[in-house]
Formats: sequence, C-alpha cells, structure tokens
Amino acid sequence: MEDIRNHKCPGCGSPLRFDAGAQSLVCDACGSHFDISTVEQYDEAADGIDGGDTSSWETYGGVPWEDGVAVHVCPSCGAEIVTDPTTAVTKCPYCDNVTVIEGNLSGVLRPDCVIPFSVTAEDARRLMAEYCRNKPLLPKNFINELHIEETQGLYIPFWLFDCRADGRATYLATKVRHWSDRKYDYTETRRFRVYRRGGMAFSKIPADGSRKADDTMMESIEPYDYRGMKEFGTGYLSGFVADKYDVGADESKARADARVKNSIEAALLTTVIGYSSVIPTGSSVKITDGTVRYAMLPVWLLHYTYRGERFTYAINGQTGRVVGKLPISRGRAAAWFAGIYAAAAALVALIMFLL
Amino acid sequence: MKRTVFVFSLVLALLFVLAPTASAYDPTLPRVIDKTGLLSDYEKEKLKDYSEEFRFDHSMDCVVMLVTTMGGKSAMAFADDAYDEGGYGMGADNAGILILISVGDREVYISTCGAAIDAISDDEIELILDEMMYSLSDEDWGAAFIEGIDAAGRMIDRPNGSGYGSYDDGNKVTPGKIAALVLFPAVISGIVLAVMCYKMNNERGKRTAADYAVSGSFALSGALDIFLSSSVTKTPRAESSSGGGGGGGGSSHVSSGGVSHGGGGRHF
Repeated sequence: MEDIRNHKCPGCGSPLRFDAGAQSLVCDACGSHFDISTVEQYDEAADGIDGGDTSSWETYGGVPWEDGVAVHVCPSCGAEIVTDPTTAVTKCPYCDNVTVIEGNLSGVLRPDCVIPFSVTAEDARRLMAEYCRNKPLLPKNFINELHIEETQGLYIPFWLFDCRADGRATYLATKVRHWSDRKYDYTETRRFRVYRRGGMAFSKIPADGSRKADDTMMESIEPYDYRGMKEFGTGYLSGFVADKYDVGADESKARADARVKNSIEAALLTTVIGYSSVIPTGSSVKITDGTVRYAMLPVWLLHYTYRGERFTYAINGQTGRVVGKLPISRGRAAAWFAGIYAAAAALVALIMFLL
Repeated sequence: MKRTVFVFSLVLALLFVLAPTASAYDPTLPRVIDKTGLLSDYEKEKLKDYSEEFRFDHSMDCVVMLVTTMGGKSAMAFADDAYDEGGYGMGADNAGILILISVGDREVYISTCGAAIDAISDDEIELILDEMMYSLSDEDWGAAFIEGIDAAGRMIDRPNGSGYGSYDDGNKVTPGKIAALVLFPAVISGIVLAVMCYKMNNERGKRTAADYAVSGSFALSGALDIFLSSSVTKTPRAESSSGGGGGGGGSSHVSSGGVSHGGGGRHF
C-alpha cells in the first residue's frame, strides 16, 4: 500500500491516503472516500482560494482644473468649495457656517463628467416636506420650524470605478431527506463540498471623494441614473457649488473593492441550488481591468438643529431620493406604545375569554 | 299512469340516496338500564331527561348502564358490546356514549362511538372519570351518571386540543395568563414601535455593487459538487392512534361486533 500525502480531503482538509484495495483516496480523519480524478479536479479548482483577494486598478492621473473658477474656503470646517466666478457663496453647504472666504485654487483636478441637477430647489423643498409626511413619531412642530428655504445644491466629488471581477468560493452543503415506516422516522443527511467560479463586470461604482460628506449618507442616496451623465463643463456649476475632493481614488477604491467582493460572493451563492443548507467556507476575488473616473454628482444638502441636536438631510439632485434621520418625539412614541399595548392586551384578553 | 310511476321512482330514489345518512336513532330503546335495582324511579327519570338533553344538544346518543357484574368480560368489551348489540347510536356512524358502572367489580367505563370518539379525547375521558369519582366512592350511582353525562357534554363543547385541566380552568386566572396578558402586548408594541423608529432613519450603507453590475455579464466558469458523506438517524414514532394531550380526538379500538369505539375506564 502506498501513501499519497500531497492531496487534502475536500471535507475536512486532512491528508488523503491512497487505498490500493479500493483504488481510491481515503481520509483517515473523517472516513470519506474520493475518486482520484475528483480530488485532482477539486485541488485544481480550489488552489489558492484562501490566499486572499487581489485588485488591480489604474492610477488616476487627471487633468488640472484651469478653467475660470472661484474657490471658497470655510474657516469653520475647512471645506474648499468651487464655483463659477459669478456664483456667490455665503454659506458652507456642509456645516452651515455663514462666513465663507475666497481662497486659492491648488491641486484641484478637473472632473471628467457630471450629472446635472434635475431636481430644483423648489422640488427639493417639496420632497423634504413629503419625506416628513406620514411619520407619526415626528415632533408636531418639526416641519413648521424646518427652514427648508436654505437648501443648498452641491456637486459632490465621486470616484466612479469600472472593473471586472472573478471570484471563487467554496461551501459546505447538505441535502436532507425524511421518510418514515411504521416504527421509525428517518432523516438522511448527505454532506457535499461545493465549489463555484464565476465572473462579472461592473460599471461606475460610486465612492464619494469628500471627507466631509458622510459615506453612509452618500451611499443611501444611490443609485444615480448614469444615462443622464454629461462631459464636465463649468457651465453646470452655475448657481451651484462644487466640493473639492479630499479623498483620493486610491483611498476610495477599498470601498469599491468591498462592494464588488460582496456582489460576486452573492452572485456565486445564487448558483448553489438544490441543497437544504449551504455554509460558505472560503472565497477569493480577483479584480482586473480597473479604471477610475472623476465625476461630480448633484446633492441637495439641508441642515437643521432641533432642540440642540443637529440633523442633516441629503436629496439626490437627479432622482429626488431623500435620506436622513428624523427626530423622534418621545411623547408621541410613548402614546403609540401605550395605544398598541392597550389594543394588544384587549385582543389577548378577548382570545383568552373565547377559549 | 306514467306520471305516477315517475313520482314513485323519484321517491324511491330519494329514499335510497338519503338512507345511508338517515338517523339510526331508535327512541323506543331504553337509555337508562339498571340491572341492579339500585336506582330509584326518580333517579331513572332524571337520567332519562339528561340523556334526552344530551342527545338534543350534541346529536349523539347517551346510554347509562348499571350492572352487578360483567360476566367475565372486560369493562371495555362489555360496554362496547352493550352499545353495539343494543342498537344504540345516531346518524350513519352510530354516534354516542355509554357510561357503564359495574357495582360488583367496582369499575366504571365510558364507551364512545362514531363522532363521539373524535369529540372526546383520552385526556377528556380521564377528566370525566375524575368528576365521577367522588360520587362513585360514595356509591351514589345516580349522581355519578349525571356528573358523567354533564362532563361529557362539556368536553364535546370545548375545542379539541385546549389542553389538560378541568373545564372551569378556562376562566381561571393563572400566572401564565397574566404573563401572556402583560408580556405579549409589550413585545408586540415594542416590535411595532421599533419598526416605526426604524422608518425614521433611511440612511443605510450599501453592502454590494449589484446596482452597477453590467447586465448579463455574470457567467459561471466552474462548478463542482463533491459528495463527502451521509448519515441516517432514526427516531421512534409516536403511537399513531392516540389522542394524546387532549387534542385531535381519542384513541380507538374495534369491538367484537367489528365497530370502532373509543373510551376509557378505571376502578373506584
């Protein structure tokens, strides 16, 4: 009998031994038997699957912004706001500070593309009012005290990532079958090692390039309709302001990588079908052909301080999606809790009475 | 003439169709059988009224039988045979109950038939017997029968699966009920309020880039499913015909006459 130690068990990872009698590979640890061809196929497929993910992105060069633009600096939060020379900026769109001074433009790259504002200031005010509607826990005077006329339209710098991703994943899966005879109920559990490999392409995954813009909030107002994207021109800035990016493409790509990895893992998992349970045990994703574009995407920002707490709302300047945390009235929450409690208690009492 | 033949045929056909569902109830049969002479006339009359009322309320026959001895038969066989051979029962399935007390054997047995098998579970039979025990111990046979008929009627009225315990427990305040009355509404209102609070904030980060996947670009380039092992576990099955826990009707057996009966009994 000859021992072969260079193959590992697909089930438990222990070394496999060649059983000359059965002409197959045997795992002494878990007792599984495999055809040699099956193990070779699996080894080839799963080779290096736990070796980590790789991503390859182009380095974004960009073109310096030399058009006639004005730069404003907020002394409160440090935001550097770019406008066309005719647009006067009196308030910082991020922190609502009223003192904004003129500064020097340095190290700013000209955006490659822009999605122009489709939502007007009037639309934004209406959408914000609609967002507050049918919210029973909202304080009664919140909407009345909301100064939504001070809404500020802002182009936020985004990095748009295009790439192709190839992923591999392994799973432990089971098939469970039940049957009975006169005396016993039987349950058969069959375990499988499952391997999947596949790839897909992504286009324009956005990641905001502004440290001041909240990442979660910017992801929440997605998606944008890229069919409305234009080549950048300073004319689109007229009447609006644009933020200068302060998070580079290299720094932002980690977020894009994570989203791509999760997407490819989810897509591969959808192909593991016909099993009673599936547990992912390993995966690796290789990102290639990564290209980056610099874009300005439109956002309406609204700040409001209610009873000492500051609330910020963002409205997608193209689709009108409103995002933000609304304040909760403790009195209304208590009243709703009490009302639901009373109704549920009455229902329980009625059921007890009937039974 | 043709018309008369047609009407006659129609009546015969209707009789034929309705015959299997017609009541087999024979009002002339005695429902109170006392072979000991221990029941007073007053008790017999009262038991007849109870039996009649039971039949009226539940559309099931109700027979009580007081005997000195069972002639070597088991209580179950004696009660089942007495019911079958006596021609008792209502409807196509001869639904009804027979309460047998054997004074000499000091044994009581309740035999159920037809719809009564499902209507009175094994646990409920035990509850009925519990209610009869005090009078049986006192050898107050008339009272024991009345309590048995009364309890059987209540068991038929209560929904199956309402659990073990006396009928009056339904209105009893228990710590479990108080906990349900306090905790369940608290949990429900807590969940509803949590959902309402959740809807006050729609800021949610994106985990995937599914919105930006190029349509139709996903392609599977490799798939391998390797069988590793299998195991089989077996667990003994519960008794198939048992009523179990008061729900789903009582267990049944077949009498010497080939009729399905349920029921139960005990010594006193």
